[in-house]
Amino acid sequence: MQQQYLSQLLLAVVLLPLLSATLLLLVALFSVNLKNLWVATLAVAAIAGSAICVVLIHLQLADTVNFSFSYTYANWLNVGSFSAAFGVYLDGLSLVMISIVSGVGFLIHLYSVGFMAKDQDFQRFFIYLNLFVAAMLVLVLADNLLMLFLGWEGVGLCSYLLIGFWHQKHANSLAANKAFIMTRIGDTAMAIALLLLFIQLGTLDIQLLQQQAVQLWPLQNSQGAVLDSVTVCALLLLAGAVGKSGQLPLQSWLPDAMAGPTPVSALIHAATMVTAGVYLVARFHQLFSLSPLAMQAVATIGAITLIIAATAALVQRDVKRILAYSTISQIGYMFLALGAGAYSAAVFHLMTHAFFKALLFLAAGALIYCMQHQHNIFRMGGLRSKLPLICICFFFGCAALAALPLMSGFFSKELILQKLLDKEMYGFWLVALSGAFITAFYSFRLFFVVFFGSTLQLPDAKPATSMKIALSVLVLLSIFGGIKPSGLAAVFSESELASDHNLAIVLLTIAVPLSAIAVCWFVFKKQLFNRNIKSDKLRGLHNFLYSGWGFDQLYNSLFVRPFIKATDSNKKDFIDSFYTGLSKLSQLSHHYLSTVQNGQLRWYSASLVLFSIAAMTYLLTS
Amino acid sequence: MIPLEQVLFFSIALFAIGVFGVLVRRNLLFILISIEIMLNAVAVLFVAAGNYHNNADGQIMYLLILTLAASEVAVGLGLVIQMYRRTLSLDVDQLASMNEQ
Amino acid sequence: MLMELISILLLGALFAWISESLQLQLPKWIAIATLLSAFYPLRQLLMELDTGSMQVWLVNESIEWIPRFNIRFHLALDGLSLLLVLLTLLMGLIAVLAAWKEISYKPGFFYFNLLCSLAGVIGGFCALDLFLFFVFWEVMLVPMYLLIAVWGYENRRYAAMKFFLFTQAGGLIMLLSICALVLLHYQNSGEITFNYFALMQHQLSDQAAFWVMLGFFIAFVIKLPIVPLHNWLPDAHTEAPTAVSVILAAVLLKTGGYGLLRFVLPLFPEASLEIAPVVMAIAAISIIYGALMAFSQQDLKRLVAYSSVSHMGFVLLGCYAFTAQAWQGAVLQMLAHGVSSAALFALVGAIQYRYHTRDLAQLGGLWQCIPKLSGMLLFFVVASLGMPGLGNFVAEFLVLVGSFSTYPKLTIMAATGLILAAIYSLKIAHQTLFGTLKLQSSIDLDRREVLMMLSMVLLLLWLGLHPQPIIDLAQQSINQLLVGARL
Repeated sequence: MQQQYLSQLLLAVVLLPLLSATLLLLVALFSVNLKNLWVATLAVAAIAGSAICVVLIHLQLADTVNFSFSYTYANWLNVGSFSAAFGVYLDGLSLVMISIVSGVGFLIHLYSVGFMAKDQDFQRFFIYLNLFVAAMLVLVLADNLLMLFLGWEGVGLCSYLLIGFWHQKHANSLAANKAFIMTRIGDTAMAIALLLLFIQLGTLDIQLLQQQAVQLWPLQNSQGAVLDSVTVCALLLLAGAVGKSGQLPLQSWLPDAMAGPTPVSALIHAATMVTAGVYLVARFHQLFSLSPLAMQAVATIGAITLIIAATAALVQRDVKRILAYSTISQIGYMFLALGAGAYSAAVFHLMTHAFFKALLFLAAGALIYCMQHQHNIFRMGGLRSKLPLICICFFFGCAALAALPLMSGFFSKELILQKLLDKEMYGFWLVALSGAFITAFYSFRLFFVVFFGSTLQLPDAKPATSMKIALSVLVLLSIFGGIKPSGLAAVFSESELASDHNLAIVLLTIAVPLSAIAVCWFVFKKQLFNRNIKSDKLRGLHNFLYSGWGFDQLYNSLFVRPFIKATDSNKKDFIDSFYTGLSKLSQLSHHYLSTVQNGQLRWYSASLVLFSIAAMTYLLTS
Repeated sequence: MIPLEQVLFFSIALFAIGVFGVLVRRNLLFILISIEIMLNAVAVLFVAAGNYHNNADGQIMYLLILTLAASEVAVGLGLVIQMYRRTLSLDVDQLASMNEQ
Repeated sequence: MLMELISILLLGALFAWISESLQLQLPKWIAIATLLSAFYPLRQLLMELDTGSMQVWLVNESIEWIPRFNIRFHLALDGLSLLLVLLTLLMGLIAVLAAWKEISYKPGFFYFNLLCSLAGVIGGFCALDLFLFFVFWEVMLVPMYLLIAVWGYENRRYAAMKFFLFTQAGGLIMLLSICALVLLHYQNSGEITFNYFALMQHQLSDQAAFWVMLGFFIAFVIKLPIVPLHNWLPDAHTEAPTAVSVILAAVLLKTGGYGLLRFVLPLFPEASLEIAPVVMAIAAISIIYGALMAFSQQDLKRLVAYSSVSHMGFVLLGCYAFTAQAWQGAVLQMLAHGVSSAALFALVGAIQYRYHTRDLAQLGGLWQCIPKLSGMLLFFVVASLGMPGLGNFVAEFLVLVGSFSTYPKLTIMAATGLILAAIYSLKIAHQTLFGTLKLQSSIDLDRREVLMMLSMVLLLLWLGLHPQPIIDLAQQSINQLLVGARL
């Protein structure tokens, strides 16, 4: 009975946004004009429906601690030994994910109604957004890898469509291409992982597959780490995760992805899609745990990305780019936690990050909305009194991001640091701690520059009501959302018991961001942020950091330009020259042979005579 | 009785003259005449060879060639006249092309 | 049933030609009516189709034709043939709709050729007598040549001649192989026959089997086409009118894949298995080379044509992996690529009809004036880059799954084709749909075109989300292959 009920709810969760998107699409295709109000109502109601269903699922499962539920709706394809079905798998992890996706998704839909009200492509926006939510839900609910891949590519496509949403601008379309192609590289690695896993284990069902992996592949000790099957599979999956989550070395698409409308940046490029990589690794934690090398790789990638992105965020001028780099950096934290084996801490941070980063992006969107599409923070200033709501939002968002005590971000980040110490990964712990310092510094740099100091530009609009509602709810979530979901520990079979908190360490983690803010305030008061850099070396460093450690330039000269050059040089298809050569040859021989057929009677008779003489001499002499 | 060698020599000479005529003359009429000479060279050879073998076949062949030459001249001259009417020229070099220009 | 089907098409073709003298609008209506009525002979088969308890051969018709050489008019239909016949008829309809406004010069003769060529293709998909197969192979070729040479664009003569020479060369090599096969069989058994089953039973010596197989293989691979025998395709596509491009991409290329599955693999299983590693490598190269070439093109039609080369590489890859998954993938790829490339060519044709250019540099920002067409184009572009949920992905994935166990390195190479596919596909969208508007025209898709495109969208979604009926339908044919290859 409960099974039936749950399966229907889950189906509704996925199908509602999908149906809404399909309906809106068909309406657009047959040129029926629909008022924006109706479009908005339909789109938002669909997500609200999903969110309500998720709440009902929560209620249903409230008293069960350790649950896992799977249900197969329909067969997809079945060829010989290969089969895949449309099935869902619900456990603590996917429950957290669908809650984030539908909940934050709903708030962002609501916000978009106000934000996009004047856009002429209102309907198209909501089609894409609904489609995205549906694909994301498929991704997190899938019980087999092929269906997960369906959602995985689906969210990639929606991300592409939404980054290039304002398609009149050439640059937006380029950014969209970059995002899609870079993630596609990771996705292809992931597809190969799918093939490898299927060949080795004979199934694509995620749970079954991991059980078999555990039985088949014994745990390796980290000394003898070699590239065995499990490591290869894990690394290939990791490549997919890295592409989607904007981690090193496939991180450089994410800052450019900010070309999309701001709600999109909030939903896709902060709260949900980019964390799909974290979800993937967490989902395959049994597999990853089998390979110390892969775990090491996850942690290292996370740590390096964390620092690179955080330092790049230090010098950005575009408010959205600061937040984009911050997202990359925070996901680096999650990868670090995953690599340390602290899966539930990573997912916990994913959740709180979804709240406060969505808040920050939406607040930034409101800021841009009110400031005539101004993105540069140095053109703003002193907005504290002009835009109080946005100021409050930014304050709590930055506070949570900087992990100030009692904010949601504090609990999750503190948990990660704690776990790193528990696992005796002191190097990574230091990196994470210094990352926390930089994070607090750049987030409050943003906050001070925009809201303090002298006023440079006056806002000309007020955020719409729907935007205000969404922002307020997210503020509350950012402050009080730091409650670790109870189901997580069971999924990862971690002990619920919290390890002993060393008071000195806790104080240290509190002191680090606070000191960073103090330093930041000092620098801001000295007006050092906006000053022209005199020294060449410093300017070089600044430009290096500003470009996100020069990865774009590196890839351009390493891959993009050689690729274009190579393909361009063979534009005419050199194989064709073989065939044109063949036709040239026959034309040439035609030319020479046709001179014989010149129509000259005497030439013909002469050749006749000559031939007869030659033939006769041959016959006579032989 | 004329020895066969002499007839043979005469016939080859005659044939060579004919071939030479076909090759060097440009006028269609002269080419036709040269062809006739070649035919006659062969005919003479037939008669002589027939005589040498004591066989009447050579003379029969001569008669055949005679009629053949007559009809050939008739058709050939007819064509030459037509050609002349169309092109006002009997130069074979100018008649190299099949289509009329 | 099959003879009726082919005669309906040929009769319709004649009527279309004659009707031209009455009224210039008549031929296209006759063509539509003919293609629709061609489903009539298949009605019983389609309604009573039960994939669960299916025989291999659903229909088997054979009458005497040239008794002197024991050549029979032998047509038969199994699941694979049925799928391809249905694809042919559906894409034929699409082609007629795509030609609706475009063809005004001698429409009767145009539809005559179109229907004749479709009849040839369908005959080819059903023929089980090798001589008959060759005849149909030629029947589809000559009208196609005329279609390109008479109704094509600027450089049509060259393209038509190139198309004709390539295919004809392949056809002649195949004829040689057919004769050799029949003669070898005759020497062995003292009986002249062109019958498929009889020749399948016959064991050739390794040497002979290799050379005879090679003849068939080359003919089919030219049609597919595979690098380095692909050069006719870009030219033919670029110069052909829209409807002909649709037929060419959707149907004609599939005869190559069909030929491999129907003739090369069952007739010469050992020889095929022997050359499989080489062929797999060629296929992987073809996938990558086609994709790279597609990226460098400036002409939209040429770009799509090269993408066909890349996609058909997957068919070849699937054919020679010798696993059930890969063969199913190859069949699905033929169907999915048939639909998606037909749609792409139809859309490019629609763009050409509106803007009189296919040059990517001159196009741009189309979304701003013709959003429906742009949306459709985007959909099929996304389909061709292998988006899960659409037919092409399922097909390509199955091919990769099937080939991975035996040829992991080549499969990984082929999989990088997925990245390249994304690159060239997005180039299409980027250059035509987005950015600043360069050419003005506000004629969006009309109802006819929307319906036509929507039907193909649904087909691709069906192939991508519920391919099981098709897989079941083709399963018997695939089983035969498995038995033949003794796997």
